[in-house]
Amino acid sequence: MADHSRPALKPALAVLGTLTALGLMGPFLANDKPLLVSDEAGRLSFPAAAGFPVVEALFGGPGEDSGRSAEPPPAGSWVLWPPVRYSYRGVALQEALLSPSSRHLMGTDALGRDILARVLNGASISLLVGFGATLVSLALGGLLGGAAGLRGGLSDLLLGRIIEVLGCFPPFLLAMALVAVSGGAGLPAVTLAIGIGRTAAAARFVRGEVLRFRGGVAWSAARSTGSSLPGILLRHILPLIAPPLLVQTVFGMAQAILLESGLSFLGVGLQPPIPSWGMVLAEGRATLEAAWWPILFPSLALALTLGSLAWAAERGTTERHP
Amino acid sequence: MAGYFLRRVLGIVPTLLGVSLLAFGLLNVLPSDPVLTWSEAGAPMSAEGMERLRRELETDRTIAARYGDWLLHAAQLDFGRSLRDSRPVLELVGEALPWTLLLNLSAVLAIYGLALPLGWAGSRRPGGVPDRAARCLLIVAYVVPPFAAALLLQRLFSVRLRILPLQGVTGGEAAGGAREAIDLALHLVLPTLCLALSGWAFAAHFARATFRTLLDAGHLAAARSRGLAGLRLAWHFAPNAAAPFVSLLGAIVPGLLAGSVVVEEIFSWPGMGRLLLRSVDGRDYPVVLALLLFSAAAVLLGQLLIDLIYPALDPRLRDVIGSEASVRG
Amino acid sequence: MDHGRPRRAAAFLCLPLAALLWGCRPAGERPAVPAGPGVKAAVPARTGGRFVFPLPIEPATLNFVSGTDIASAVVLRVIGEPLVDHDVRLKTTPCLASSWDLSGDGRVLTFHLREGVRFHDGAPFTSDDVLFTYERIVDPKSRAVGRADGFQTVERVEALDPGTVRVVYREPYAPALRSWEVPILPAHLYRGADFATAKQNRAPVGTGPFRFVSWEPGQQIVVEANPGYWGGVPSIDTFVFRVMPAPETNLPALLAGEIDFARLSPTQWEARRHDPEFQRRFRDVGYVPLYFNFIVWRGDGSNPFFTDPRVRRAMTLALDREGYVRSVLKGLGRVTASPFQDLLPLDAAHEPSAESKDPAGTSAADLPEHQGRGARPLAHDPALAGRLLDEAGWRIDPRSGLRTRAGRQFRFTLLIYSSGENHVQFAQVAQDDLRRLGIRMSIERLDWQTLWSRLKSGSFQAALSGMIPAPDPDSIYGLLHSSQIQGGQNYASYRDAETDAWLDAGRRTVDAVVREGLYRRVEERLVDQQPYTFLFNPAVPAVLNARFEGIEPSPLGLLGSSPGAAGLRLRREPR
Repeated sequence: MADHSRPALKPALAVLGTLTALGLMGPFLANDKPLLVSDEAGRLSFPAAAGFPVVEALFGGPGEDSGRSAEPPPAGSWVLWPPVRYSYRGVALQEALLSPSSRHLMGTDALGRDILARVLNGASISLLVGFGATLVSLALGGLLGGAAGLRGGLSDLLLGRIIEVLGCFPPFLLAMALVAVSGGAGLPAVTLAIGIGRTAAAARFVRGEVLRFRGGVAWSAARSTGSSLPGILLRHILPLIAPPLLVQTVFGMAQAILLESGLSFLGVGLQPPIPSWGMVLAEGRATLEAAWWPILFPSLALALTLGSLAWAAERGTTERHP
Repeated sequence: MAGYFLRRVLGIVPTLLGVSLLAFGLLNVLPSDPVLTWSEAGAPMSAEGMERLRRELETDRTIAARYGDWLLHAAQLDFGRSLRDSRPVLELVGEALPWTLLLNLSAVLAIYGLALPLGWAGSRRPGGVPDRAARCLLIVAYVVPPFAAALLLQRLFSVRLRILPLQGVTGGEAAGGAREAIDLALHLVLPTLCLALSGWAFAAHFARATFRTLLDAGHLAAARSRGLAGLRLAWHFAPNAAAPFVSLLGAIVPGLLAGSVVVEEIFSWPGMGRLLLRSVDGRDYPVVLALLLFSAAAVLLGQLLIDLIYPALDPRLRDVIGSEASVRG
Repeated sequence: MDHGRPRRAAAFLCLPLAALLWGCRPAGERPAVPAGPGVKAAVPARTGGRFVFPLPIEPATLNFVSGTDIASAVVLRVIGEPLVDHDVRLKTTPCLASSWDLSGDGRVLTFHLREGVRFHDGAPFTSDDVLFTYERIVDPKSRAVGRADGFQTVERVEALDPGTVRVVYREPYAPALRSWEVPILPAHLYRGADFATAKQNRAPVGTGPFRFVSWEPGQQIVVEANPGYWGGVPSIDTFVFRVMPAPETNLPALLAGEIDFARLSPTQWEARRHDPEFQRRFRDVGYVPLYFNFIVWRGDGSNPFFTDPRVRRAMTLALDREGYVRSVLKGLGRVTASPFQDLLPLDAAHEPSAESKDPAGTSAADLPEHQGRGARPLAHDPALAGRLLDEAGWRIDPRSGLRTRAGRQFRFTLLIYSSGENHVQFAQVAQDDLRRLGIRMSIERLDWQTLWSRLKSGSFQAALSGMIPAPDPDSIYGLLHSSQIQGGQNYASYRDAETDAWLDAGRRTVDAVVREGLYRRVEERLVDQQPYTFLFNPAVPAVLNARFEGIEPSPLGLLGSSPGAAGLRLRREPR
């Protein structure tokens, strides 16, 4: 059957690692507050943290702002600024829709916000939601699918039906409805909604793998040791399916990011001014006639992210089939 | 075999029931006011007037009673009337369905039309330059989200170059016959392209694997030794190719249906996806339920298609279809 | 195994065949409507032609009484006619009623109906149709929400003879004439049929300049010139209303010649207005619509912020409305000082004011405007706003940078309508303006149903919404009267006894001068108290295919007033 050889994992892990790093770095790269301020007494502070979109997404409203970052640093202290000194939310109406230039590498949007800053900060949001939603779907799906596969019989029938029902719902609509039902605000709601929307796919995968395991020799061996069903799941099945599970995670993350940007594009989910890439694209749609840069750059960002994830997933599967 | 088939088809019914239950539940949890379906957002209305209308519209029945009533009628294929304009739901769906069908059909044709030749070429010379170039291009097509691609393509072909229409299904001139057909075809180009994008990579990948399996050296030599060549050679292997490509259909159709919603929105395509969005927004639950049932049935049939042919597939193909089907949801 | 071949070939032929068959399908419904005899007035030579007009949504129904969404209203204006109508200046004009009298005590309105008018199917128009229409409006089963409100004080409607209708009101009702701007139904076609599902709702019959031809669902509605129209046959042969939901696609369709009129976004307008080719092909018919945006501050004490009028005033001062109109709307629009801005002065009381200062500096001078004297908008003044907030006890806490009072930070959530383009953008501008003042505002985007339920239940702190008033100051009643707090449109819970009295009196006073005075007082109180911060009124840049002439836009749109489509004609001289 399939050969779960280790080389298939390296691309997947590499991509996941790089994306995580980039995602985490985004808000550090583009912020209108300094990263590090050391005052005369040598005490450090991190004003930039207030300008992280994650903070806004979680707590609804930007972080605390001492407002002092605009003052010139007194003698004996130093300030470290991020490379792109724009925030993702600073409205500047007099600089609306400027084409890319040395001051704004990716141009500005209709409200004068720097698009490079919005794209960089958006990375953290899109990746966070993607990762979180995938984890949710794996946890829920693993539970459902694992239970269905292990118990079999009536449980399998019932749980199988539930998985099927969830799977028939367009994940898009399911997420939309869940977000609306939950009051529509914030990161946790969106992440959960997308996670639930993707649960069916994960559940089907886990159930399939569990059934395959049950048909094999290792099953009777594991049963003979007298361990409980959850124990078998954790100790025997999990290590065996870890490689394809990782590939599934990578693939699922791409789908989750796609779903999130689609939701933002249609105006559902995360609240403005959080620069999820889908939202930046949707804003660019209104000025399609006049400006190409608000749609090109977020599209590139999405394409690169999804592309690397898809590439990693493909390497993970084709390695097994020479 | 027939027994398994029958069981599976019968098994669709409880799932559809579950889908309708879930949809009904969600729609009832969402905040809604029946007055809004009959009044204009932003127009002045008096509190008394709205109260009068609400009393006229509200039925004081429990959710369970309303669901039971709907179910009873749905079982007889009577899906009720739209809350927005009182037209029979089946009539509304009947108007939107052909457009969605047309769009998805042309997307399927586009996918097969590109994937098969590319897969064939790739299988004949794996690792060759055209094969790798094609796979690269397909990855790009796969990763650009449909709405991003739609905006970029619209900007390029409709705004800059002005050779393709931006949206809708017709230019409006009721010229009749051939001219109208050409106009329709032009309007189909961009939406089909956007919808087909994500299906291409997988389909080509699958086609490549299929052709390699079917056409491995042994079989090919045997057929050649019997004097078959060229097109007749292709036709010889065609029947064996039918099964995998039918199951491929089952794998990509659910993805197409899901993608339809966004593509129809962007291109103002009057199909079921747009009808669905509009109805959810307006809490027009008879329409929403009917549409969800329909799309669920289509997804389930697609899965049935895969599962029927799954055991007959070569194990290598099975894994490819299986992984795609499981992640496409 | 080879019998698969012909089947496969058939499969390949299917799609192009289907496409061809599609092109040959019959178009929608075409009722056979015979041309009635009608009045033949002396008219100038007709030019013929076909005009295509885009609709932003598809009409839900073409029933005259319940079809009140924007698309239905536009289409129905050319098919059906009311007793009285309005012109481009929104002055009342006669239509199916050639004249009317109001009794001395203001309670009895008598309409004298125009003679010789026939419906599109030839049947004569009489007072019976007027009576039938009234009965349908006030019948709750017809679901004619907006319209029924205007008839609540009617005691009875009588048909004195086929050409006269008398309406008796329980008390004088100032907006009475306006409420009769509803198209008159053909009673003979609706009697005996179920009102909600009658086929006339999909194929309407009226007395108007155009008669219904077909409705292709999801695509277009076609009407043609009515040869028996009492006002003279319209010049244009065919009118097509095309359903085009995505607004940004109107311009490309216009450029491609698919439609003859388009509303543009400010960016599109800016990009094209200086292009000589564009100016040659299209004529500017932009207008300032009857509409305004506003922010509701929930001032009933459910939150500690907005009960103090100083705080509300500070909010208005803090928001850069002029900047938004200037930069984002490209100057095409006006800051709204008061909801009465376009509804006063009452033309019965004044000449139109000669000099009117427009603080927002609208640049497109050729846009027709509907200016009035009255309250000036408060100028953007963040410094003053800060001082007012300090005065009200909200001072900046140096540690957090937020304004705080008695340990409570100034943080609130603004609800907005997610599909309102200007709403979402302005909310983000407002958020930034307030952030600089030390106030934390977060945005919550909701769909219309959810937003409405939150507004209705009062579970919000601030919300951004808009209103399309009717051209009479009484339409602001719902926003300000205390009786409309529960379940009505007084979202701010604004409760002022004198305002209530003035609004009630304004509704009952027929004397125009007295009436205007009452509303001016309401306006003054409003500016002082600021329960709402009125934002702006975006102008609508629009262009018309230069091949057509004979029409002027009004605040209700290109086709929104009399004579509208009936006066449209093709330009004669070549360009």
